[in-house]
Amino acid sequence: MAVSDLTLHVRKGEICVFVGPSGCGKTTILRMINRLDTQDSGRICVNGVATDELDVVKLRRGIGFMMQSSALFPHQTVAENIGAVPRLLGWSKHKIRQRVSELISLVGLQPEFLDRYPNQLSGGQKSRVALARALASDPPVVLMDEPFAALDPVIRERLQDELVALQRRLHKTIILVTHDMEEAIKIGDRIAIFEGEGKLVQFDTPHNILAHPASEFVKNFIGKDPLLKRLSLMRVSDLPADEVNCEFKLLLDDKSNPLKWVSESDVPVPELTTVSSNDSLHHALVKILTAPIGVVVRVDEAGGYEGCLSIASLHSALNERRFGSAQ
Amino acid sequence: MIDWSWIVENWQQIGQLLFDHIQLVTLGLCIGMLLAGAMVLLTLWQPGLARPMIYVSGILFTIPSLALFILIMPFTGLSKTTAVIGLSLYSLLIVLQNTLAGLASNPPDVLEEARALGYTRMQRFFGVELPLALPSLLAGLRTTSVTLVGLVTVTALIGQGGLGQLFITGLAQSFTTPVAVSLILTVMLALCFDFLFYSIDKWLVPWVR
Repeated sequence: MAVSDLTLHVRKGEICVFVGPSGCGKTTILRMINRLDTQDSGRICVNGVATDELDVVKLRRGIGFMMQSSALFPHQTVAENIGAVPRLLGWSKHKIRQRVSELISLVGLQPEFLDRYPNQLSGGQKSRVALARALASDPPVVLMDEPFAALDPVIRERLQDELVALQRRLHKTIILVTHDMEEAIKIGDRIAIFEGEGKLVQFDTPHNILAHPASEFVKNFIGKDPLLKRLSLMRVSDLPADEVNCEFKLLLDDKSNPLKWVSESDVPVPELTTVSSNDSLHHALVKILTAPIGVVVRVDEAGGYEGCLSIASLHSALNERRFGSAQ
Repeated sequence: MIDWSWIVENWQQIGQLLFDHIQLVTLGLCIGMLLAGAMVLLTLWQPGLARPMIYVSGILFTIPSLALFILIMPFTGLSKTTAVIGLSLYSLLIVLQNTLAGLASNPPDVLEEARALGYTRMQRFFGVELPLALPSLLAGLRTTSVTLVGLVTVTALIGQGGLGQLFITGLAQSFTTPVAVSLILTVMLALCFDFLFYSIDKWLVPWVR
């Protein structure tokens, strides 16, 4: 038995990541949603309708699907691949062409790719086309089975970033299966961790899972230094701005952009290091550690002065969070 | 060595025999293909039949051609029907084997993806499986056509045989010209069929490079 006794509710418009060791049943659960696999008992509802009450073909056409090997149709061009589901749904040729050109730019490919065949594409390009195909009929729910696992690390990270950015615009309900906890933390709004036979051990936001792993198994699965992973989830703007508190003074220009450190004595003035309020705290930590005086200047997106950041401010912020959320 | 005047005197008969030859090959090919198509559709409905079909057609294919024609003769006599039945059977065997093998080697993840996107069984077969098996199917037709061009000459022994009859004439009269003409035309015909299916393959399968 691959999965037993599982209750799980995925919210509309979130990226829910199923993560766990291989053989834990996460892929089976995903495949049961569009009935590629069938459950012996129990109910699966999509938008409040039980999946086994719907016509299976209709159900599948209403759910986007993308698997690990992009599995593009080798005998069809990129355009035909992307237009597969709209064609099944009987859209007009004109409407399909319009939608296809919309999607190709959405997934970051040039229009000249439309006439190519899949064997003329790189792995990353194939994944983009597969993503476009999954989104073609604008389904509210998209299932992704280890979509980036076969890609090299650089391309994988880029596609992960782009998926997160896309999701900010599209607000799909995405269920993504992976065995990679880093990937889950990076793109998941919530993460469901499975231990085996579909046993759900924790289902929470990446933040809460890293701060409060539910069991030894989860702790091991997260790996070393969960704190550093938490830092990469938090932004500089999550912290209150501190005032300058060191032996130097900060010189601003008339637009209140920081120019340089100045000193009243003859001490040599160190170079100025800045972080943007949009940067992750992980990035800020590296900047603080490399800044000569251990203090970096915070600027907003336009480059305007916001305050300062030091190890002490990171330290107090993290501890506040820990105690704050433990109550 | 070659008696050109014989060729000039008999060009009409040679042309007729060439036409008969092409006709027999085409008939055998078309009927074989239709039967193979029907049997492949049968495997859609009963997937378990594919394996025994490949097995049985493999065994049937080992029957020597002459023996096959002699086996059919009691039913249909020394007629064109006998020739066409035999030829169709051979083409059925080759096309069926190639097509089933092609379908079986289709990438499983692509078929699974088609299922996941909401293709019905028929849409999957005609929209994905068959196009993907097209190279194997056409390779089968190519082999079949060349094999049939050769096999038709054998049917000369049951009174058909197109260009094969020139062999018999030449042999009986110890006269090499008809044999040479028959040989050259047969080889050229085989090459033409081969090229025809090669071109169809290039035209229908632009996605394999």
